[in-house]
Amino acid sequence: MSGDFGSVIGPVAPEIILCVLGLLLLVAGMFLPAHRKATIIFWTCLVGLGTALCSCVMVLAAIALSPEPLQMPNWLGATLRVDEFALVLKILINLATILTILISPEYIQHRLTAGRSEYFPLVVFAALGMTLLVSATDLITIYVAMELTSLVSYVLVGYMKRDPKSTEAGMKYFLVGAASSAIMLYGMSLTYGMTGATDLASIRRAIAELGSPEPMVLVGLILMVAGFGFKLAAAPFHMWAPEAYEGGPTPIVALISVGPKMAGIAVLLHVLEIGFPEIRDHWSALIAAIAAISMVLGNLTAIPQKNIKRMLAYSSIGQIGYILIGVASLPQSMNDWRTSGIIVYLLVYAFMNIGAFAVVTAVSNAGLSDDIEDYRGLAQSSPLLAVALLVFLASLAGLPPTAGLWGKALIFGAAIYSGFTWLAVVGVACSVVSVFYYFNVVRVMFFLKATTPHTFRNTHLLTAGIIIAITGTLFIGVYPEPFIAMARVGQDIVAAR
Amino acid sequence: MTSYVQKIAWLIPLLPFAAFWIILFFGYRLRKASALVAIAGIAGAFGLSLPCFIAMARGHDPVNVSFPWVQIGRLTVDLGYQIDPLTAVMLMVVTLIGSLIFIYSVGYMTDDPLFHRFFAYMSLFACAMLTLVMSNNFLMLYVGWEGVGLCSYLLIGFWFEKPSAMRAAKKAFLVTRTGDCGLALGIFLLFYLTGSVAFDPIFDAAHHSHIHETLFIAAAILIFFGAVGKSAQFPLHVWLPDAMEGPTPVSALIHAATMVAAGVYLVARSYPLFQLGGEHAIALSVVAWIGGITAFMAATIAVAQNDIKRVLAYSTISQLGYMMLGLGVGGYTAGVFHLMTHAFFKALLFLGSGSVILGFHHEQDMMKMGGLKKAMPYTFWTYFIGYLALAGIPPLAGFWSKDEILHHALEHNFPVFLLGAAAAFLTSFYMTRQMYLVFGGEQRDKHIHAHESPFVMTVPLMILAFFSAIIGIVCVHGQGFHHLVHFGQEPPAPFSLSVAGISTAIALLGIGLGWKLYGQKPLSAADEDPLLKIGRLYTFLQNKWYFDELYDTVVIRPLLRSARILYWVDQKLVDGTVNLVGIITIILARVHQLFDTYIVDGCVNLVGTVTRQMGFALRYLQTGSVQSYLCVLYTGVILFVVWQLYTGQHFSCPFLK
Amino acid sequence: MIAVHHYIFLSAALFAVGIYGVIARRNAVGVLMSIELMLNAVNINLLAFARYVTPTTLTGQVFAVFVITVAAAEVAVGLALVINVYRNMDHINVDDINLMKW
Repeated sequence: MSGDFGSVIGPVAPEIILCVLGLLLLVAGMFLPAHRKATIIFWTCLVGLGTALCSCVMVLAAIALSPEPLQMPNWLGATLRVDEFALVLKILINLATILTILISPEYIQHRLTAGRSEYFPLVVFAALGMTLLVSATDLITIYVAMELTSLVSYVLVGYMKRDPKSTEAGMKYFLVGAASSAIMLYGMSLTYGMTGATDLASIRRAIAELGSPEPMVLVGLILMVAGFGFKLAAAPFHMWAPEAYEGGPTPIVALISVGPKMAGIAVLLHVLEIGFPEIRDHWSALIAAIAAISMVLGNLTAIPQKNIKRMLAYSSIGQIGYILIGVASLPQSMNDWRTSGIIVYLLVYAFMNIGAFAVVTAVSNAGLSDDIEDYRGLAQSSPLLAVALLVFLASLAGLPPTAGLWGKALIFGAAIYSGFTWLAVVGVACSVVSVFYYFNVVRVMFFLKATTPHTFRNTHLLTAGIIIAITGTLFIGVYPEPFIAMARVGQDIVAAR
Repeated sequence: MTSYVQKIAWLIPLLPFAAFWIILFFGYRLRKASALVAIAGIAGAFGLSLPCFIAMARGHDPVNVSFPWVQIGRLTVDLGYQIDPLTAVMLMVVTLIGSLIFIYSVGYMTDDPLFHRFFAYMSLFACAMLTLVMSNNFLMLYVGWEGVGLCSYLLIGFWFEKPSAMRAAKKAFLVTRTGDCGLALGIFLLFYLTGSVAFDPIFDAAHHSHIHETLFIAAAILIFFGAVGKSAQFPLHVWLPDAMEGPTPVSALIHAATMVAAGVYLVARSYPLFQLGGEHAIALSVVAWIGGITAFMAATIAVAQNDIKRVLAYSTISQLGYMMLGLGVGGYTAGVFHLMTHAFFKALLFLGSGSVILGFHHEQDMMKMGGLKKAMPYTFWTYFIGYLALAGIPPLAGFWSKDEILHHALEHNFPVFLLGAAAAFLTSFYMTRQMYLVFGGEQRDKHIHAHESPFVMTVPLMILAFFSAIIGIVCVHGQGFHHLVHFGQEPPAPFSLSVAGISTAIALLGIGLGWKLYGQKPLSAADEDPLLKIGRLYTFLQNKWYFDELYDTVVIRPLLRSARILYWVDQKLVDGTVNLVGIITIILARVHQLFDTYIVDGCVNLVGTVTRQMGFALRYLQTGSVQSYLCVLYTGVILFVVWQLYTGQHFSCPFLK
Repeated sequence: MIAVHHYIFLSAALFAVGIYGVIARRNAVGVLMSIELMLNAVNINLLAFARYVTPTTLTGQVFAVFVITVAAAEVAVGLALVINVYRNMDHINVDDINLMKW
């Protein structure tokens, strides 16, 4: 038994590492001396996340190199599924969490009066929830993992206790979240009732036996999609996002604008492709509708926004619309562009969106507000930040030579291959609209003079985070092939089995 | 076997690139040391290029490395680099001359407040140029091509406080961009025809596709249009003389030795396309004629210029025309050979002129100079060698390459040969004129105290002079250069005494005429230029065949005028009618105005406004009350359910059965 | 005879009442309680299905236990946030928590 210890816990090593790390940090927060606490917890957290990232890479390598498929240990049952697709997303989630941690310390130094030592373990638990979610293939696991992520996110968004905006954001986020998780649960209970199972593979078999599509199956699926849609902030389940983004601590907003989206897309793909491939026609139309509504609503409402975080919230509603096009399109076996598109887009999105929020963090660290008006003349007072934001916004708009171009190109390609030409057209039109509001910020930064000069003195950690994000955005933009190839690793994984 | 060439070659463009980033980030802190970083970058590139060149010279197989850039489904685009003899020669030219010019720049730019930025731009230029010559596909070549264009723009306008410099930079950018459009179209056409951007597959396809031969020839001509812009060929040559507003090392590196030669390199690289059509290849005749006309025209203009750098600029255009001419008449080796020798002696001449300008306190008018031989002995002697090389006096570099080109021209295209020969005569004449005006006789403007430049500038001059003197004979020895760089089974040009005799005689004739006019009795301050005797023709030449005026009249004025006519019509329409019909027209004008505001502007702004307004309207969905959000959420779910069930096949509830 | 659809109707009704409460209650704690009602509707569903659809396995019961446990955690977090709102604004009227809008 001890001989194959590696194979017993190996596949879930990243989750175990994150869990131990979170608990360790919580306990350490109670016992460490006050003056050293912040430093020790920060670095332990960073090292721990790095270890989790490495373990993901090692499991991925082990799976990719071994000839036979990975045997999941018995004690997990059918609750988790560790495949290439999930592992690539776990790597991305860990990366996003590391970037969040890097841009956090100075911000919480300024803004938090209490609870600084619990901040990092909470972020780690959020990451744990997301990594579990990308592997979960049982409705119960999906529910628990999703609640783990959500509960931690509510707390973190409302973490600035003395800030009314943050409090309000946490409150609204919680109420919408709890209500939509109840809806999702109701959908799950209906699915369970119709199929007699909670694991996705059995659900699929049961639906196949039912023959003609049962309306209750459909209702159950739609209710579940509503719950996932809440995580993704896809319209019309997006209403919490602008407030949560505007009020929450900026580094946390960076994380919740990226991490839950990856997890949500993974769980959506798993449920739809493993559990419900038999009624593809129905859900692909449903997802296409959600994608179109998200793109149009997000991109249009972003135009009049005055607050940059709110603008980025609407922009990310639009962005999730683009990614959902990929989910709606035909499966990988018939459409080479799909999985590559989704994974490359998520990767690119992680870099550019966290990068943009990192710049917002840096600006607010300098004592400026989040109003776009306050970005006047940023190009003079801090060229690095201005150029960085320019790169991230250009990438969000999908302009060459940034990475955003490739994400959009692949996704729109997938749509056209799947006969969703109208979705691709809507997507391109929305991208054109998006240039309008992204470059409004660029105009303010580069062509308007600052009213009062500000000095920007950022820590090396924050600068490092921004530079990693820029490097990622530009490198993928200039040389996308390795990442498309990495996405190709999980090619037939998402395909129905 | 992966040879060492393959292992090291990819680093070559990356070294200057790294230097660029280092200087960009730490320039303010490095100050003068940024020059060291830049020199280390380019010298490192030279150090890596040298073994590549030696390997090629020893007959090593060409190296071609590709990697997939984008690969989705059936669509694959490969990028990569290649080292073949042509690339190896270009690498040597760029890195060796580049290194020397970088060193020289330390002296030339020493007092400039933006010293580090200059070296950052130069490093970026080196990187782009090396990418351009090492690429094995049109896409990376195009990236390098635009990169050098951008750097050229930045460096011409380096002294941006001078309005003339900004104007010149803008002009260079716009004119070369005109050519770039042709190149881009050509690349698109080739990609459309072959589904690839890499050289080898495209050339293979061009060779074996007889159906699309006309289209491939069209692509070749489009590509040549790009080369015309970049290499300042007629009729897009007008930007290069103005580009002399940039610092002189820039003129030497970018506008004489490397970037402007990129057009010639492009034609040489795409030679298989130009050759299509066999004996009477249309594309090649176009190249030959454009080259011949440019060579002759620019040489005549150079005769009548008084600015020391402008003479050299027109000379460069003329010599680039020579290279094109050589390629066009089938002298592939000869054209590339001339590219190489010219790079050395023209860089030498430009750096020499820079030394003169610096020593003469930034005065560039040759009519004020004279007698600088005594004040600047090093500059004089090195300049003298460059002069002989350009004039084509054996055994210096220029003689051999020019001779080969004339030889090919004589064999294949006699009218073009005549143009070339006339250009050769004019070349030796205007260079003799320049030598006497600058270095001979007595200084005409006595207020300026000329002084010799520092060693950091004269040593590169000496090295370049050394190469200018010997490189021709070294390469010709045993047909060495021909064995290295040749196209297909092209036979080496035999050294014929008659052509050599003719070309030497022509050169000596030009020098003789120059001596007669300027050397026999040196010009004094009171004398006027003896050339003024030819009257109108002189004015015509001095005004550069009125090309700028022509473009002004044909292109720019009509544009402005049509704008003005429209304005005038508008004015008269409103004003005139107001005077005439009074009150009625006020109404008309109102209507007109309303039409303008609501219909014309409206249509233009409609799309934008509608989008904006929808955005403004949609934001009010977000009322701030969380329960309205939940309403939206529930309504969404219910609508989805209704829609899905409505489109579903049938409705039945299993629990009610 | 009580069949499975009786339970379904009960749970649907409970769920609808919960939704109504979530939308209509002004007091944040009331909204929280309505959400609990929705979760209880889910639990009824799960147990009924466990009894009638899969009488031989415990999946439904286990699911229900998970729901109850997680709901407890959710209420804890929710009440903490409500208390915080009360500290900042001196009321917990969800209609009037609209600092951020548009």
